[in-house]
Amino acid sequence: MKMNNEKSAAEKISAYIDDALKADEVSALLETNDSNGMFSVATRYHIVGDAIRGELSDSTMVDVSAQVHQALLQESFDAPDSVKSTIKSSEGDRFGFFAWLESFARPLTGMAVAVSVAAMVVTVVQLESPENNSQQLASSPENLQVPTLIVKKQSVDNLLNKQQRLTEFDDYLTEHAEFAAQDTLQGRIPYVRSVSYEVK
Amino acid sequence: MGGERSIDQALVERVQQGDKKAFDLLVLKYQLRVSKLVARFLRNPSDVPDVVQDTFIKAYRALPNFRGDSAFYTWIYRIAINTAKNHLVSMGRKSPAHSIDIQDAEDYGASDWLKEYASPEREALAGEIQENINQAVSHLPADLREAIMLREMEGLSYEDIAIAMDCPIGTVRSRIFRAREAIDEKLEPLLDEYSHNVGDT
Repeated sequence: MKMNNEKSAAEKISAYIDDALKADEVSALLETNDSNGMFSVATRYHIVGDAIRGELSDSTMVDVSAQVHQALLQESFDAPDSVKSTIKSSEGDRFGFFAWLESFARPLTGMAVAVSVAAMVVTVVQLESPENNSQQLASSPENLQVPTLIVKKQSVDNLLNKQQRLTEFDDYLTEHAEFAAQDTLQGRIPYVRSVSYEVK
Repeated sequence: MGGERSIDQALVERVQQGDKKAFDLLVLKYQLRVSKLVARFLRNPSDVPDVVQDTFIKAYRALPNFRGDSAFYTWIYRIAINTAKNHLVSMGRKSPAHSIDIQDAEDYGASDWLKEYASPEREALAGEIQENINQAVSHLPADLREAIMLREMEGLSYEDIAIAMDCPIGTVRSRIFRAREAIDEKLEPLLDEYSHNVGDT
């Protein structure tokens, strides 16, 4: 006579190979310690089925479960990212006030950083652009000036010096762009350097 | 048996979380079907266990990429076919140019394959196993025999068998198990002999 535990596991295996095992019974089956016994019972039940159908063959006798089990003992499993995040979140569950605080703090921090960057960009662009910038753009493309972002301590003197240097650099670029072919991006817009790559 | 996919998916998710025993259950459930499928491709039956083993090991390694868009068996079927084809190529043989449908592979007469390639000793043992199981089935109580025949011969679900036999599903489950257990008592010593002989050959 089989022990009750063995019998119970065999009964679950019988239901499992018929897809009739309930979801909550899967855990109980997984807790069975006797893997080898489980493998051989399942194989024999498959053989019974094939024999009743008159389909018994050598392939019915193939039982690689023990070999696969042994081979996989050496394997490390790289869980997918989705599962890792699930595991991580379930491991690091926080409750109560801290969880509530964290749920608000994260988006607020991100938003604060974004607002700071945007404010800084607007301020610097306004400082760098001369009042008549739009008029210059419209009147002469040779005097075209690109609004430039410079993030450092600003002073009136520095700004004036920088403005002058940029104007000189613009002139230099415009004058030395005559060798660039006009049908290329560089010829049309001498300030731009484009980088591209091909995907094979 | 609508729970097949959900139980398989639950097992897959457990494997993805590092539970190797859950993969054992998937191997137990599908190794016979995969063996028959692989045997359809290979000309040498002694290669089948190696290819089946490779199939499951490859499946395990690829499981992090399995998202459950298809059924687990459909997914492992493709791995099995590719592993069998690669095996044929590595053995210097041409793989079948046509694709094989899952159902065609499962309906393939395994007994024909056995007749063509089995040794006389193996064939005799398989015949003996078949005869003993037939006898064990004929000696089963009527309710157990009816339940196991409806399941194995007709492929009915437990729900359908319960309706046919006018009894609860739990009773069907118990009857099928008791039938298998009774047949298994005759089968186990024969299989020991069979595996011993196969080991000798």
